[in-house]
Amino acid sequence: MKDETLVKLLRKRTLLGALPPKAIRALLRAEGDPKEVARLADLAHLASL
Amino acid sequence: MMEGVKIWRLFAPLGELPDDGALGEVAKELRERERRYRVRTLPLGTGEPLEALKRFLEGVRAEEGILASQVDGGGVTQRYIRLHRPAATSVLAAAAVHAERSAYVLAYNRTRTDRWGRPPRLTWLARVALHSNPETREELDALEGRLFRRYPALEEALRPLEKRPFFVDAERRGQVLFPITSMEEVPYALVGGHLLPLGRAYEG
Repeated sequence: MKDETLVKLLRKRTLLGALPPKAIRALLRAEGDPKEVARLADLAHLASL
Repeated sequence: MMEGVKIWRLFAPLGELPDDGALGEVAKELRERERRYRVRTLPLGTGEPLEALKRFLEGVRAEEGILASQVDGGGVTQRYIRLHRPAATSVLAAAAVHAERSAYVLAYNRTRTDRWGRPPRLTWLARVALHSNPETREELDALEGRLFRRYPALEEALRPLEKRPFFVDAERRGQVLFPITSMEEVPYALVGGHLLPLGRAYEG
């Protein structure tokens, strides 16, 4: 699956939907480092407040 | 007059389309229903309806996985909505699950466009209908079983959840796994054997 497709799915009905696609692509480019995922989830959580 | 959604479920050997007899019945009923409308009808009407229906279903045919597609009669402009009222349009959506065999769901409706004048998406409904029938659920079960054999840690992590969707695919990026549901959603990321919820606020 292409990154673009995965980004689209990740933004669908999730907290990550509050983040710009660029931020999620950055996560995928970082090859899914767990710390990066946790950071992103924190960001998404904050963005949803 | 709008009659509401019509759902058909059809089965075929893995990777094949349903037989012409079953598809012919669907094509016939679609033609009967569409005959009542003059505008924004399904673009299946030109030529032989059975062949048009088969061409449409080719888009969701596969050897493994879930695919969905939609064909519709188109929408109207926002100006039209302002001057008149929401317009009616025909929508036919298909979802198919391919595991041990191929199961197809077709959802048809003559319905209103949304407030922007666009035809509504019915692919989600076709996907939902895959869950509401024991035979199609068997195929979803089979797909999920294959996924769990590939990623045993995912099955383990999902075990404590009382209610959860079907997971039918997953994408791995580095040490993170993104499991994908039958509704094409990614509600969790699996990180180091732990599920990180993405679909709602979490405590932490």
